[in-house]
Amino acid sequence: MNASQTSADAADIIRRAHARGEQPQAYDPHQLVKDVAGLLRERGLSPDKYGRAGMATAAAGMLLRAFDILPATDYSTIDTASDPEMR
Amino acid sequence: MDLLHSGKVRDVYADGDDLILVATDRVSVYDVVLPTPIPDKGKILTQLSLWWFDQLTDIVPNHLISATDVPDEWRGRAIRCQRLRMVQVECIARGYLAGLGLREYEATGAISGVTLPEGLLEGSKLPEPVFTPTTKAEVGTHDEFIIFDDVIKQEGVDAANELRRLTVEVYRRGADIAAERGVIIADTKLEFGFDKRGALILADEVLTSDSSRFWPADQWLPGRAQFAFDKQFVRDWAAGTGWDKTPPAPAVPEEIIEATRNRYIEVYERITGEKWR
Repeated sequence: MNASQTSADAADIIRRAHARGEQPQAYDPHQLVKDVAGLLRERGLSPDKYGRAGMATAAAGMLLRAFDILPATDYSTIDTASDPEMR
Repeated sequence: MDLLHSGKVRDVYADGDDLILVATDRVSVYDVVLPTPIPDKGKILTQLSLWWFDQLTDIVPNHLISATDVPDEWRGRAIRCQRLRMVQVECIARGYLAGLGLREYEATGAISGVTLPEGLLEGSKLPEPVFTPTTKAEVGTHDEFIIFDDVIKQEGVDAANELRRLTVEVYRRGADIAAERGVIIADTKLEFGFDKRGALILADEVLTSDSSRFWPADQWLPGRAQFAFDKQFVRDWAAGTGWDKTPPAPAVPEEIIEATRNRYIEVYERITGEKWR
């Protein structure tokens, strides 16, 4: 087993999928955070509304990559960023 | 052709496997789209972005397939581009202190975990350009700073390092070229996606005034708010109306539209050295 087979780096997930003749699976890490928050609420917990900035999506990205799923979205999500004066 | 997404200022259509990215003449101020478009703004920014892509090809590949193979009604303001898997991190490089970066620095002495020297002022030039990633906020909310370690966790160490390296290199190249032409690029936001081979590709628009802060170099003075190159007329006008910066925005007078359009053209001509036709 070489490094790229064991690595969960985002690019490696794509390369492995194509080596198998498949399209890589992808999922938005922000959506996963929302999904998990919803699940936790169903279980009677009260997760912070947004999750800690970065920490939650970082964890979501790690989880997705561990499942060999790319933490990404399709192209249609561009142009959602705030204006430079708001940045 | 299917409309996939209509953003504040751009629309995205699917054309088979390709995407058509259309820059409209819509303009937003304080994150609110104004009811009055700025004529040719979409064309000017598209042509500026295409010019930048040419200047950056040795640093990073981009998503452009064709600037001419687009429907006639969008010619000049649309590009045909690759469909990518978009990275869910806003990749921002800052060479100067402004906006939320300034606020973060004043509160913590750092931006995105990058510690900066003491004593910097609004508009100060940073010792080195810094990578200050943020989350990608949903519409109606604001991006939040994240530290580089979070990018590593989200994307993996190799992808995170590459995102940082490419973002800073693109900024450096852009800032150097613009500086020769009297324009300061204070900061810029880049979008990257993965292509089918897993390579990072520069996407979206690049180094335009919708994604960057442009300041005239001859008016730069640290310690105060800087004069923004092209939107300043419309921003000042909006502030002067007493508008509370929440939708709906008021209609923009003709003379403000004309002055704003002229500044977009001036930025294009100063940076590219080419006459706007």
